[in-house]
Amino acid sequence: MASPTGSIALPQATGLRARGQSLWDAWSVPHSAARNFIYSATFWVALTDTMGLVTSTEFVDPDLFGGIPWMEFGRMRSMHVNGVAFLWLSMGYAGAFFYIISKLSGRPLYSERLGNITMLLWNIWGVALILTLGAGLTQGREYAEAIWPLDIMFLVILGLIAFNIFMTLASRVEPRLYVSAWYIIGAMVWFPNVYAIGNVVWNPPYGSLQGINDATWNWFYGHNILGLWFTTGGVAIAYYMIPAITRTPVYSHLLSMVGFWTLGLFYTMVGQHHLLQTPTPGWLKTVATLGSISLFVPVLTFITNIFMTMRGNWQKIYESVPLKFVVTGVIFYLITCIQGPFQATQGFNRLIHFTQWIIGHAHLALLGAFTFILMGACYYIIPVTLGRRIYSIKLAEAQFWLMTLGFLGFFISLQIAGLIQGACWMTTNHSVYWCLTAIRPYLIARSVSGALMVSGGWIQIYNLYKTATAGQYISSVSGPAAADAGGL
Amino acid sequence: MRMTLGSTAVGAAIVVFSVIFVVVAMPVLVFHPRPSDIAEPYTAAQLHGRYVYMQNGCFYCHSQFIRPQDWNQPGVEDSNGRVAQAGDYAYQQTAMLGQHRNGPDLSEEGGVHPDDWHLAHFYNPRFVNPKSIMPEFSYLWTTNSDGSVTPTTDLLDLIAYVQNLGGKLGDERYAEQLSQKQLFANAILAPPNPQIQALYGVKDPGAQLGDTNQKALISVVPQKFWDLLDPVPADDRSLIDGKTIFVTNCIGCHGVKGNGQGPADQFLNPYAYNFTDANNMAHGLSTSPGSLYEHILYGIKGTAMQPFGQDLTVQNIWDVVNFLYTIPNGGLTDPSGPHMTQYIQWSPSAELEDLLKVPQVSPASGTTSVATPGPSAYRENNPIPIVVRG
Repeated sequence: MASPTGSIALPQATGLRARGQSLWDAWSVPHSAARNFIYSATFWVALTDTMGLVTSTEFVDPDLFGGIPWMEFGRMRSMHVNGVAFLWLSMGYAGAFFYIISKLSGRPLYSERLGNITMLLWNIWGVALILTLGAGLTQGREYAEAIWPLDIMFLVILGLIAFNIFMTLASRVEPRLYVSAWYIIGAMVWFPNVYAIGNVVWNPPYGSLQGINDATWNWFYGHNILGLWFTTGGVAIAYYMIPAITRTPVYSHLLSMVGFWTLGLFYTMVGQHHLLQTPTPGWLKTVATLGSISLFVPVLTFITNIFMTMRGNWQKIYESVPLKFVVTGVIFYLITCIQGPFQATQGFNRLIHFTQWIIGHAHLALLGAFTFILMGACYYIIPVTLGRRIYSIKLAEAQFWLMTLGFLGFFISLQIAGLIQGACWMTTNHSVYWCLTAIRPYLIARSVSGALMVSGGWIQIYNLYKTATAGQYISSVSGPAAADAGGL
Repeated sequence: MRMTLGSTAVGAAIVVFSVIFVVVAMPVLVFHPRPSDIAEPYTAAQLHGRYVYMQNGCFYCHSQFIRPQDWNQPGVEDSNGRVAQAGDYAYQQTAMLGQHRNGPDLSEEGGVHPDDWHLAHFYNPRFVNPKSIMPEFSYLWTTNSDGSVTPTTDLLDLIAYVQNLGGKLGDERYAEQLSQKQLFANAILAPPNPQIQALYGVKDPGAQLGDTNQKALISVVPQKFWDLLDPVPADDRSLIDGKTIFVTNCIGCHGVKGNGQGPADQFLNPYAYNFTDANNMAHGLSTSPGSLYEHILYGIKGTAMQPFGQDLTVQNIWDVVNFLYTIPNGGLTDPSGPHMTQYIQWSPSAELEDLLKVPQVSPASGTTSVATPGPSAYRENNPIPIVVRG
């Protein structure tokens, strides 16, 4: 089994690009593709989270940015959601996958240059996506807004990523595949298929079906980019980071196996739980509800496995910022996945569907769980592959606490607001406007705590940039001094 | 089990595609709902309007399906009881059902409001509903050299689409809005109007009154409201509460002076009502407490006056009615708040006394009699309708 705790070669790369080095050469440096993906993702998280903050202020003062087409709520919301999903998380995942796959194979990435070209393509795609959404070019399906040419380009990009990963795995010297590799293989097999089916790419320019079955397809897709990509990728990263940083083998191979296969089986079923009260076939809703409840199996096996691996290692979260991020993300993931099955039951769904509760839950998954896990990975991979320490541990700690406290404030205020809205609609005869007045204080609290989280993204840009250019070189790969450099 | 690159990749694909066959392919293979009784194809303008709706992300805040538990969905007054059916979406490419309800459900929005309300509302939703958090769509207008604004084709098509929401039901409601609006237009343009006279069999009752809107207004108020007196006594508490509610709900159209010249005024036809005429508020044909109560409770079809029955309680509405009688004496503009000294006691004018002598058919005898004029007698026969539609 390829141990994630294996020895680390201290690289010679300086971080960005050495003086006099051509870009073409810089792009062949080991791990440069992983790093460049992470740098890009860090830029996009700061930018698109700020867009999210802007949209949240429009709940409080709708005229603040009034009359500017691309800042209108409906457009900027799609820029925020797509940006966070496909530019921050997905690009960050690609970077982390490249690093993890290379470590687990015991081989360099199949082609660093191809990886870097993919990174460039993905960024071009990202700029085009943000610009088209801002201009109002959209397919009008949540998470699937990208217009048809961009859908095709994205599939090409995913194909290139998958090619690079599979070729690296095919050339591996480590005979057994570690659990993270299964999840990465699964993610790379599932995501392009889910994307192509969910976006109905064979039906340009609409990218949709006619009639109400389109909603079924939309939410099959909407939930499975979460289940078969964000969850799969996040679990892969957590399964790598926690054993690597704590230097502890993962607790149970069997639990990992159960978790992996049930994830693919149950997660695929659940899309219809977004449509429980729509006039869609009842048997689909039953399948979705049962699938959602069954998700306790992969979730609890993963959580058990991680927490048992952490047994005896909990004090290490004080020594390693990346571990702190990842473990916090895993805890948020547990909360997400306890909420999720309950929300998918008919009774509870009746109360909270359409409300701000859902926004809170969606952020709990993508922000609380997977952003935290990925930020931990960023703070691990950049220092480790550069052989430099994190530029400022204090700033990284500040980022962690700003994001954790900000997120808790954000999440709790939205949950309260959602319960108020749900109760308001169910028990009174009042209009939606009346209920909005009731939740206004919580929406203000959401924006304030959202601002704390957004500042975390900007801190990460600064801290990673300084780490790459001015971080202290690590002379030894062991000892307490190295621990704060990202758990070397 | 030995996990290799091949077995993992192929196994992962088999597991997921098996489930995809069930939850993605099966619905398309077996579920083909026929167009429902309200579904109809879009016109070219509506189709383009639908794209504008999509482009601006309206579906992120407005759902388009009424759930079984929404049988009394607030904000969609005419659709009570019509839960969404699968066939409603038969002609839609890209079903924008929506997953959030930051604004009201729009699946039955067609014809709930008239076009001029939509113009004002899209330009800035706060113009017609100061509590709304909807973004302004002023960028769908072009600004002329003199500062006035003209709606673009995008916006007009968007309104055409919105007025068709609810399919054939929406079309019916929209046709009613248009005919009511025509009624008001006729009343304003060509007094005295024989159509309104014919409606209630009276001689041009509004001829002596300055505002020709009134004839039309009185024609749409059920007769039992006409001389209904106020059950909530006008006192300082009531006036102050009424002012608070007026300021937070009404000034977009009726203006900060109550003269009907709020920011929405430029879009409205007919204009918002002017409350500053003391004589009119004291004896006006359409300013009786009962008439004002009815207008606020149910709104006025064909005008931008929207129903507030689901935002305000019965007492709230009567407080507003009481407050309206202080506006001619500065109750709204005076920062020290409305005082009882500013309150005008409404009493029927001679014209209204005449009007109330409408021949009525007694259900018991089938004979024609003349109703006793005067508020007190009328009220005995017509208890206060403390009902909220719904």
